[in-house]
Amino acid sequence: MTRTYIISILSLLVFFDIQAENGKSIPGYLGSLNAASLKIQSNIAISNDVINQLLRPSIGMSYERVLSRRGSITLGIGNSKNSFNQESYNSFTERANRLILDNSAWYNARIQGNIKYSNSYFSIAKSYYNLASGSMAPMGFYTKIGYTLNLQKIIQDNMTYIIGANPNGNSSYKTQHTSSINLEFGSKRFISKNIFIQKSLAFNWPFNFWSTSKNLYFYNIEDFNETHLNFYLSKARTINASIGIGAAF
Amino acid sequence: MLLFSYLPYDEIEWSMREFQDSSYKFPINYSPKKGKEISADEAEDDEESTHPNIRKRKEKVESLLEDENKIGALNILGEDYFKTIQQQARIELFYILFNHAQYKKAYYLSFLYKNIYNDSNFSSIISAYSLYAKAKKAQDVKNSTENSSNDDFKQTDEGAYYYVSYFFDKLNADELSILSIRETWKSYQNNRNDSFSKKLFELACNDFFKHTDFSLNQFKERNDTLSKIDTSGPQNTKGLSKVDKLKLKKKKQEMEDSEESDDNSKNNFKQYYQFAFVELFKNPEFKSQFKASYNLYKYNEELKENDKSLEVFFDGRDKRKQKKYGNAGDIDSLIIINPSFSKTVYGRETRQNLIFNERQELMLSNKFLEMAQLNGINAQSLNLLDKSNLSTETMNEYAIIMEWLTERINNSSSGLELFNSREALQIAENKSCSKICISGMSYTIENQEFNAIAFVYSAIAFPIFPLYLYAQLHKKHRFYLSSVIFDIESGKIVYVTSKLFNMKYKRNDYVNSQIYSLFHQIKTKKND
Repeated sequence: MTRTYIISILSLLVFFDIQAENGKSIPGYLGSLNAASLKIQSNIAISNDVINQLLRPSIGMSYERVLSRRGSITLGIGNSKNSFNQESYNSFTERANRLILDNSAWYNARIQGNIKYSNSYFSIAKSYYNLASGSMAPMGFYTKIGYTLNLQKIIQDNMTYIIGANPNGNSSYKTQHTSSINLEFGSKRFISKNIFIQKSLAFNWPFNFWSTSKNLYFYNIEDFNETHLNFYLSKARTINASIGIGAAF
Repeated sequence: MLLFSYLPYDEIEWSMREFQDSSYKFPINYSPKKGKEISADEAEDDEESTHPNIRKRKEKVESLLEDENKIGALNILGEDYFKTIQQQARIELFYILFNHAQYKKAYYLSFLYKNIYNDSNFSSIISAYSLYAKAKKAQDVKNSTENSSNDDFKQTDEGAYYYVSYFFDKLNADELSILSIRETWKSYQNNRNDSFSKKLFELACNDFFKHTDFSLNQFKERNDTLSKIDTSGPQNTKGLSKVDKLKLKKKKQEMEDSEESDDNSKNNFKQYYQFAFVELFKNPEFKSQFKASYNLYKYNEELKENDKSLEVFFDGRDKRKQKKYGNAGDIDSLIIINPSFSKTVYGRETRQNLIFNERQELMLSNKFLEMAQLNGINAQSLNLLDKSNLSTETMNEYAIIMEWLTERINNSSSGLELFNSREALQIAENKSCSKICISGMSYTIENQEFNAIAFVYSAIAFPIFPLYLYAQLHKKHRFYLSSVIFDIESGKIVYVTSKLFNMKYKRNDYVNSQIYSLFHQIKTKKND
């Protein structure tokens, strides 16, 4: 019975422009304008280290605040501990980077072992939800543009160099930082009134790729390894995927 | 009966004298020189018809009735009871006609009703409303490019009704506006205690100055000129001198000539309506209301002149803002009519699963109510689908609201006081809410149209061919969510939205979110 009238009414709508009135309607998801989530994020490294990066993801958490029907701002932090071995130096040394320790000869990076590192990140991003697909912040498909600050530090150097020993066993590594801009595509699906599952794929473009030194020759191990770490992680982080669970409130 | 079912239920001669008084007369050409005979033929050739002609049916029914008479089964309930039901049906007919904006026919039926049942009170309300609504419609058509569609003069109008139809066809918006004042006043005089009659009269007066170019001083208060001539019938020339008689004859001839000549003389001729209110002005209440309406019009015009800020322009910035922050309805309470839902799968065969649609409608009814309440809206449902909780009261309320809605939809004029408004307002009063929300969802699934250019390009750049295939084979999912909120008190649409989403209906979170968002916007306060 209603349907007959609905059809007539819907045909009426053709003659009406939407009555735009000033106001501020930000519904969030069923009234929830905040969302917090835990996520695991793996780098999809374009190198032979891909399995290592995939299987040792970073653990992070984020907080999202809805600003409008289509936009939100997200703050995130995360941390991972991982390691790389001598294989990862290949691409680094292919770029003619040389480690020179005695000022007379250069070592061709004949090294063995691994280096453990810690990586923390802080990110801030603006999300744009795809209204045309029925999404609305913080639910549905989104595109996120953000900035990430990465802090990384070598925490254990187990590398043996060609001279047969670690010439720098007392090396003290400093915390390095690199930053990048990100473009992320993802979606959040609510499985209940508050709980959601999110997944995303992100692309990162690093700013300071060679943050420690722009030279090709390194005269101490710390500089060489730290630069390598930055190079290695910046490459590894170029593409990453994440999956998470969160709650809207 | 079937033969003449396209005609009114009785045939009583009507003339335009019904609207005239001693000062207010219509030009003679407002009445056809010749009537139109009823053309229905009960013995029409039914050779190629699916049904027998009326004569054959009549004969069959008569034979059946004869048989019934023999066993004494005719008029089981008695003739009086039949007459009562018949009268009720005739009253109901007025509602049906008003719902479908058939004011001309409703007017004639009120004339029949008055004569058949000797009831001038009720019939005058019907007559007044018919004229009021017809004038309102004419005013709207005059002010827009829209054409009147459902109450036009039809060549098929026959018999006594032909005179009514012909007469109304002659009247323009101004003339109808004058008539509406006269008839609503008459109705008010017949029904002094009826607030609806009084309201109609006031509205007719207010609309008169608002939608016509008339001013107060264009209407004479005294009958002091020769230009007032009764041209509608035989003239009473007793007591006139020969010269006056000749003048009268000449004037009448001029009028008839001018009707078929140029427009200017036609306009001058139509000045007859300056005497429209001569008799009515004798009543101080009428005069007072008429003047008050004029003053109200002048006051509103001044306000409009001073307040240019009301003009709203929509530019790109506004649209972006609207996208970002939605609309604001500023509505706190709603009566929610169960929403409609339809899912259609287009393909080689268009498919609809009606059972699925009905199940969704029931589910959505509850969801709409829940989402509205979650937004803090005082929402009450008028749900016909929830059979387990369906009561007669709900059914009646639903029927009244639907009647009101039908009338409202068939009348594009938002300022029109609807005939069903009294009953609908009663419901609004009982529920302490005058806004009704009608929503509908339409979900369609269809194949992508074949894109030959994309096919060729993707075939040339073959690595992207799988992407093309995916896009081509991917079904298009479209989801419309539309809502209209009517205010029963004002009869106006106070909120309207229609959105299209490219989404699958099966995603509950999406549907929840959109319905919640709909009510969130409805609730959102407007900025000053």
